[in-house]
Amino acid sequence: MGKKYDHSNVVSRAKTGAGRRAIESRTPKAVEAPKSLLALKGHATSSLCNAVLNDLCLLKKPLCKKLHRKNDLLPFEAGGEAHLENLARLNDCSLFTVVNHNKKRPHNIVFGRTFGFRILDMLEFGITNYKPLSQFRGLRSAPGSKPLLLFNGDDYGATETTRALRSLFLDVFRGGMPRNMSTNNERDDVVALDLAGVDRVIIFTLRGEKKVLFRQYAVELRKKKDSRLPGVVLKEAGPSFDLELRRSRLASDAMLTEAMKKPRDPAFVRKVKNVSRDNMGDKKGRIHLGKQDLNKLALARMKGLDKRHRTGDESRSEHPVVQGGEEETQIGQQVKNEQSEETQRHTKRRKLDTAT
Amino acid sequence: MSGFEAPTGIELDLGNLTAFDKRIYEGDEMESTTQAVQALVTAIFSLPAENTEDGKIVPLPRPSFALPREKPIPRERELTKWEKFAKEKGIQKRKRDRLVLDEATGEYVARYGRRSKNSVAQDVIIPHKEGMGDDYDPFAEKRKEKKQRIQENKKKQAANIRAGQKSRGGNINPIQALDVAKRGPSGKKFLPKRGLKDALAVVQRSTASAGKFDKKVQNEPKQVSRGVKRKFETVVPRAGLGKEKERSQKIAERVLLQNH
Repeated sequence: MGKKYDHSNVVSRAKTGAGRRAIESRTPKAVEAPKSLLALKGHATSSLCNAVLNDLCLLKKPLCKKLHRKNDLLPFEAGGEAHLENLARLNDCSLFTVVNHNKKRPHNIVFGRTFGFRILDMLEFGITNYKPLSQFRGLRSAPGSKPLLLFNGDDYGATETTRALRSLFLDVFRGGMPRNMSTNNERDDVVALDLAGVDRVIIFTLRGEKKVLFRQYAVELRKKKDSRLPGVVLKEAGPSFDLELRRSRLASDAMLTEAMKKPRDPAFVRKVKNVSRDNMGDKKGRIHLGKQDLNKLALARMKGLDKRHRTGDESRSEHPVVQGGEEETQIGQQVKNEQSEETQRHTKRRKLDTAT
Repeated sequence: MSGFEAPTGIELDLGNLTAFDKRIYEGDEMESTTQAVQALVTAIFSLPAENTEDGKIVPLPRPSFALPREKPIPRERELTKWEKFAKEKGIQKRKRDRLVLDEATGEYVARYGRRSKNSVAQDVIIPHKEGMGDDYDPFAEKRKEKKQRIQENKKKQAANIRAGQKSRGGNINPIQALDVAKRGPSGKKFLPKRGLKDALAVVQRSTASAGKFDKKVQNEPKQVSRGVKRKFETVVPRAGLGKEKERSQKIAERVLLQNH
């Protein structure tokens, strides 16, 4: 019998530099790179669904990864999220969109996001009233240009679902530098904006609680005579479609709390109190000792006050009458011990003080 | 920051390049949309811009609308056993030259790795140890020792990693707990206590016969019964009516006493 190799003690490591860098780029970071969108097709799709998916990818480029095969995905069914989470993990994308089409839910699209590659929340919509990007002319934005976003409607804050909807669409469509091009290590959002790149706006108009109109407009900047600030003219640029909310899965409180945590600011330094340096560069500390209890002072003992040395009979010494207040009558062995401990502590502190 | 103020009802989040228009529309929708976009564009163009080779660039403020992270905040790596020791003793890392002088040949050779000073291949002659017999091969012995050292080191690495995971209170799934079983330094298998009992209980019941006809592993603990079986009194007691009479008596007494 050959000896079986014990894998339990082996530390798994990337074998190549590229592998090491790939693992490194996927490990959680305090300041994260912008999120990428994973675009997926379900097991059956319509040509409308496919066209919408293509258009979304064009809008989202280059922070988008589209998988071209069909996937047997039903994210809202029990146990349906496992495959989706796996795909998100493999492609390192924390935003996803899945399109599918069936009799019960025609032209279906799901938007969602993950936290730690577990589904955080997702919303399902039916697509109607679609006008493809190719139908419009006029917008030729560079890939990766950052869109302006506009959320129209006073009802976005009304329910938990509409709040999630706003947060989700903001997360999915806001711009950012792609992971491999991002140079700053401090911010994951749009840090600096090229003013020439302000050329489009994506508008989400909420109608009631269940309907969202998705529109994209080209922003034309016109010079004004009286101002150095430009005027705005909007021209519809497509794609445009209406989304009718179907099913939704909102984030659990525990997961959302964890996901909303902010990392500690590396620039934050806790204020060091009571420590200073003098002209010689020596460290000086100020120590607060509290108010001193004068009744417990360790003074030189006076024989006259000690009851053993008191003149007169023994019985009087049990109820000694001593001038100077009630407390002093309580001098006994226990109090003496406390005193000595107290003095020891004081001297220790003083020693520390001089040492520093 | 710019001094621009958006019209009432429009909130701006310049960090996200986003406007929230909460006004209720009356009349031309396109007009109010243009107003909102105009407010956003004006606010952006009012920010102090920097002139660069690529054109005007505006540093944006931090976003005000908080969005969830995509992965948990990383925790600091647990120090390895050596690192802890080095910190305690104040031992600092120092850079050492890659090459060292080999006194035997007077040449500079690598400190470690291929063709290094201590590599097995570098040894041409190794003195034979006395009393080891003729079939003693010092080269083989040295190779074996090296392999053992590597194994030892790997064990230590794994232990460090495990210690790091443990201190984080790693989440143990009761079913996965069985896979996590590792061999300890003594060669004995030790299992994480947490979740193990539950995992075993689940597994023991997980066959078609609910574990009744399974082959038992040596020293396998007895199946823990979960839940209480219902018990019914026999309709016709075998040993006379004594027990039933007793029960009825009890009930009658209780009811009568209560009514008193």
